[in-house]
Amino acid sequence: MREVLVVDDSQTIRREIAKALEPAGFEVVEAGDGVSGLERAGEREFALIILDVNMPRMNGMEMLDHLKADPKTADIPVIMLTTEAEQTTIERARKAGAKGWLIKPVPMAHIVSTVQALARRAQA
Amino acid sequence: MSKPPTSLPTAPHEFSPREAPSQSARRAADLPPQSSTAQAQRGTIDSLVQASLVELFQAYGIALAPMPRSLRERPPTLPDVSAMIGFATESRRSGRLTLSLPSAVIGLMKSEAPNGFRQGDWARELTNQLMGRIKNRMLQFSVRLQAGLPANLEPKLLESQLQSAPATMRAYTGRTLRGEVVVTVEGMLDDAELKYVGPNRVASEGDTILF
Repeated sequence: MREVLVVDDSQTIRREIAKALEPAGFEVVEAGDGVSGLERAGEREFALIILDVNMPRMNGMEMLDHLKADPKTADIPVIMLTTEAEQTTIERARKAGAKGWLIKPVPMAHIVSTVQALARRAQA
Repeated sequence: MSKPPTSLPTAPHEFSPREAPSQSARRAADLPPQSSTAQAQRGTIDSLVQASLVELFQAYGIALAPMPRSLRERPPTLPDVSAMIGFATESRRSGRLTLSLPSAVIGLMKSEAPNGFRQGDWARELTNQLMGRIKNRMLQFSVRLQAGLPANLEPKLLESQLQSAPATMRAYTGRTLRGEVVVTVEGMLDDAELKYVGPNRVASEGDTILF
């Protein structure tokens, strides 16, 4: 089963994403901030990471930089899921290596199809 | 040519001295009757906050009707669940946005009946998303807001804090079928400080961008 790491400080958001992804064949691992997200990311081989931006301890942009700097996690596709919509911030994430940017609120079906598409692309 | 209405009078009875009496009288006739809570005319910030609030709740399937913004005369009575988020402008002015909503509204938004912790968690997330919408819309005025992290607040504590809030605090109420949602904003820029610079290449809520 493909594993997805969901890093978001809202437990409600994490649970809803898990509930949507599990029937689609993904196992979801959760983390509530960037520091624990980074720890989890190194523990398994994730098919994809869904990453919030505004979080305690370490924000999503910092976590993205750490992921891409570590050869062990650099190739995991990362989708940012956030309220941020400014072009310069989105561009910064693209340059840092993110594969997508979803602006909250996003319908769960949309998140599932995006995860499936990116996981397929990564496998190819 | 008259200036666009970025700076409106703060209260219905504040008319420009340059205005002819007949115009003042006509405008006064168009206004709703004064209630015990002073009401302000809807300015740019009001429109922006109210539109953001309506759209946010609409995104979760809740119809919300915004009520006229009230100036602080007495703090609003708050529903059960509250959260706040701090923000700062580039000019280092800081402020705070709070969102309070009834448990029954949260119950409508979430399919699973959330318990106390989940309600607080969801109120924080909604506050964060409301701040995000306001922040994105402020970019068209070249205003960049830096948002902090959302936190829960006891509604009673918030009510007492609001009693000593500055007179510039704005309170917005929105009606839903399951009760009223209250938003307060302190430390926001005034309408007169906003200058429209046009759309700022901002993506929209719900957008998916694949790189």
